[in-house]
Formats: sequence, C-alpha cells, structure tokens
Amino acid sequence: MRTDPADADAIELSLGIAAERGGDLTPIVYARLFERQPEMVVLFWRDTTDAIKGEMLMRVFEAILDFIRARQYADHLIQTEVVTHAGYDVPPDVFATFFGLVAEVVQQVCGPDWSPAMAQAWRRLLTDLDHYVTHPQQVAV
Amino acid sequence: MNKPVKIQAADAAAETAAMPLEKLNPARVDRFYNDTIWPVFERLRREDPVHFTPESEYGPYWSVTKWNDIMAVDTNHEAFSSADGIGLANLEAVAEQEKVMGVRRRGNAGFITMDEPEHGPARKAVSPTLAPTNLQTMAPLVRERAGEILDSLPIGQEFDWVDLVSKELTAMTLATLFDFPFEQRRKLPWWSDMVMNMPGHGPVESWEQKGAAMFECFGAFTELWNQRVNAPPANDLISMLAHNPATRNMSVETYQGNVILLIVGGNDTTRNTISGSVVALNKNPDQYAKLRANPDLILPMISETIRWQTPLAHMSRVATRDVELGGKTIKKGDRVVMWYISGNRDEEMVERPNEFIIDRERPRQHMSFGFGIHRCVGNRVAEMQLTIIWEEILKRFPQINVVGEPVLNWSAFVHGFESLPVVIPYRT
Repeated sequence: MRTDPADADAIELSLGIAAERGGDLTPIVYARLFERQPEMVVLFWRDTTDAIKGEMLMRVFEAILDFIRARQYADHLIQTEVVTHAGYDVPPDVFATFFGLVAEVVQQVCGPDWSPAMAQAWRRLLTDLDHYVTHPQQVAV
Repeated sequence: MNKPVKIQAADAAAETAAMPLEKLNPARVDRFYNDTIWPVFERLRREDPVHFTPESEYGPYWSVTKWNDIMAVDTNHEAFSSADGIGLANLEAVAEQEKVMGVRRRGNAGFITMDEPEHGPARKAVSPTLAPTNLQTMAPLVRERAGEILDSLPIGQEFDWVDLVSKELTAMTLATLFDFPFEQRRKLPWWSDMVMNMPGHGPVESWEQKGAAMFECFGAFTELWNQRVNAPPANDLISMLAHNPATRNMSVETYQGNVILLIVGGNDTTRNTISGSVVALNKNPDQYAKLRANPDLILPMISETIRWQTPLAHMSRVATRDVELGGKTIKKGDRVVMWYISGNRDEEMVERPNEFIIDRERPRQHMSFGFGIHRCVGNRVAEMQLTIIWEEILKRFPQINVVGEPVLNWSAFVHGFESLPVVIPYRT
C-alpha cells in the first residue's frame, strides 16, 4: 500500500527538523545499534572515520524518502538488502531494529516539535517497511 | 574487428551533438577507448534517459542512464533477469568464439547470471570468505605483499604501473582467496584479460589462443577442485564451493562460470581503480596535495576514484515482463543496460559530478558496485586492497608521476587501462 500523502508530509517534516537540529545523526544512530546488537560492531572494523556508517544511514534516509513518495526503487531495495546482508550473516531483524531506532533518534532530535501526526506516520511507515523486511522474495505482479 | 583509432574529444562531442537521437549507440567501443563517451551520456541523461538503440553490434538494447532509474532496474530482479548474461555481447564476437570454443549458454558466468531462488544459496557459498570479519584476518597478509610490490619498484625510471602494481596486487590477493599456487599467480589476471578481450586487444591474438587459454584455466581450476573436494573444508573460495551443499553438485559448466566470475570480478574492479587513482590524482594535483597532507583522506579518495573511474561501465538484464520505466515501455525479452558510468555522473545525485574531489561530503555515493541481489560480492575486498596499497604508497612515495598517455581498454564493459607509464622520482 502506498504511503498516505499526509503521512509522507509529516515524515518529511520530521526528517527536515532532525537534519537541521541534529546535523549528522550517524554517531547517535550507530551507538544505539551497537548497544542493542553488539555483534554488529565487528562488521565495521575498517570504518574508522564513520564514512561507511554515514553512507549507509544516508541510503536509509533516501530509501525512506523514495518509499513515502515516488517509490521508484525503495521497496525492492529493502528486499534485496535483506538478502545480500544475510550473506554477511546480518539477520533480517537487524533491519527492523535499524528502521525503528532511526525513528527513535528522529523523535529525540525533534524534541518538542515531534507531533502526534509524526508519531502516527512513523508508526505506519515502520509497519509498511517491516512487510518488505519480512518478505524479501520478490513476486511477479 | 574494429581497430583503435584516436579521436579528439571535441570532434566526438560535435558528432554526438549532431547525431539523431535514435541513432545514438552509447556502447560504441571506440568512444570508451578514446575516452569520449561523456557527451553521449550527458545528452542521454538530459534528453532521453531511458533510451532505445534499435540496431547495433550487440543487437537492439535499452540504455538506462540516470541514478534512480538504474536503481529501479538493479533492485528489481523479478522483472529484470540476469540469466541470459550481465554484459552486452558483440554478436560477431560471440559467433567467432562459438566456432572455436563451442556453444555455451549465454549467461553461464556463475551465480551472477542466476536468478532467484537458484542465485541466493550459490552466492552465499562464497560470500563468507569475502565478508568483513574474514577480511580482518586477511588484511595483514595483503599489507605485507603490497609492501613487497612497492619496495620492488624502480625509482627514477619509467615503468608500466598497470603491469607492476595493479595486476600484481590483484594477482596476489586473488591467489590468496583461491589458495592458488602463489608462483603462478600472474596467470589469474592473464586469464581474466583473455576472457575479457577480443583478438587484437589486450593479450589476445586469435580466437584459437583465447580458447586455449580458457581450457588451460578450466584445467587448472578442475585440478584445484579435485584437491579441495577430497580434503577437509578450508577457508578458500574453491574449498567453500566444493564443500557447500548449495554448490558441491553444480555442473562443470556452472563451476567454470563461477571461476570466471571470481577471476574477472576480483581482477578488473580493483586493478582499474588502482590505476585510475594514479591517473585522477595526476590530473588533479590539488587533490593529490590534499591527500599527501592528510592520509585520512585515503578512504574517501578510494571511493571517489571508484565513482570517477567506474571500473565496470555497465551491467545488463533481460526484462521478464513488460515494464514501464521513465515513460517508456520495456517489452518482455528486451535487453536493458544499466550504465553505472552514467549514473555516477548524474548531476541530480552527485554535485559537480565530472570533477574528482576526494573530500566530498558523501564520498561513498556511487553505484559502481551495483545494487540489489547482484551487488558486487567482493566490494569490501576491493576497498580493503585499495586502502592498504595507498597507505603503503604514501609511506614510501610522495609522488607518482604519469609520464605518458595511458592506453585504455577496448571495451564498453571493463572501463580501465591496458598500460600506464609512470615514474616514481624518489622514495621518502
């Protein structure tokens, strides 16, 4: 199901506020990921400057923006990332965790500007994204 | 076969601008050889981003030239199949090759030319060897060997960087990954060159010679398979293929396809990025100065080179059903080419895309490794080798000077260098 335009507006607004207030969210997002999934730390052993983590997070934001609007590729990208990461022993539940903690961090950085509409839009978005994480097999349309 | 003729960039740009759009064939190899492809892709991105070429030496095909459209094709493996080959094939060359080597299934180049559900388990049989955790173990050996290569280079004398450094480093790493006899390592890039070139280009003199090289390669790897399948499982790629339930019973042809995939994939991307980095830094001395002043820029410089060079210019697919893309209808059975080399210069996605800037805000924003289930399985190995070689270069050589015109590959697929004359004036 396509994202409701009102939800897309609310998500975009929250991401805009987070980008303006929080700057680079990479350290805070990955600190939380590693706290919850410490087994992920070793996979980033080469990433001493956070460049790999930063690009992955940017790709997540771009995928979210594509997913809530044109949906040119994001649904398929999420499915294929689940598959390719499984090859590196990254289980699908890490994806669900990751999208969820991105939402948490955006909420935290938005602070008092986090609105009920944003909360509801993100909740629905996470449910929609979870469908693609848990159903990575592409089926003919 | 066409013979290379040098064409000036201005002439090529004028020819591209004057050509009727429907006649534009972005896979014309002479433009890659002469480094005059850029106006073609600029025009297509601007005027016809999803472009159909009805007649060419490859038959009819679609070109996808903008970032988001490429992502849409690359991530949709249900609608775009890899099973009939992942590169454009020159029809005349295919016919000539079949006369000598017999008919092979077009798409038989290992797991990259498989669709789901066959593809996933086959790829997973080798991906642990190339995963970040395993590379951590391998890194010290790569560093030691990179140091040996660099310490053997002549100082103050002209030499071919492609031969003495780029090929040698990838040969050493590939030999390690395969546990291939180390003293014979240079056969690996040589076989890769024999696969990827047509007679008259690279080391290939005739179809017969090319066929003989392939038989030699397959013979050597059959011997390795027989050794590994009868030995306890080990951590090299051949042992993993021989012992993994998903691949241990694969056909001989599929095994040969996987061997070619791993040799070519492990060779071309890394090798041409190593050469490309030296070329790019020489063309942009301000960026070279930045790198020398701040070695923390090695990693972003590597990513920027991978974008700027785009060592594999394209990948192709075949539509499994009618698909709407960019306002065009791609019909079931049509061949579709994703031009990564164009997506990497998409002005809407990359700021000042034609410039080589090693401290970009988003240095890793490139599509050279592809996306989707066929995303380059060895991308982390490639980045590791490239980072290590540059760390070791900067410890030894403040400057590597390109002293002549590089010779580019005769290929619309591998975007790289046949030779690159350089001089290292002095050691640190």
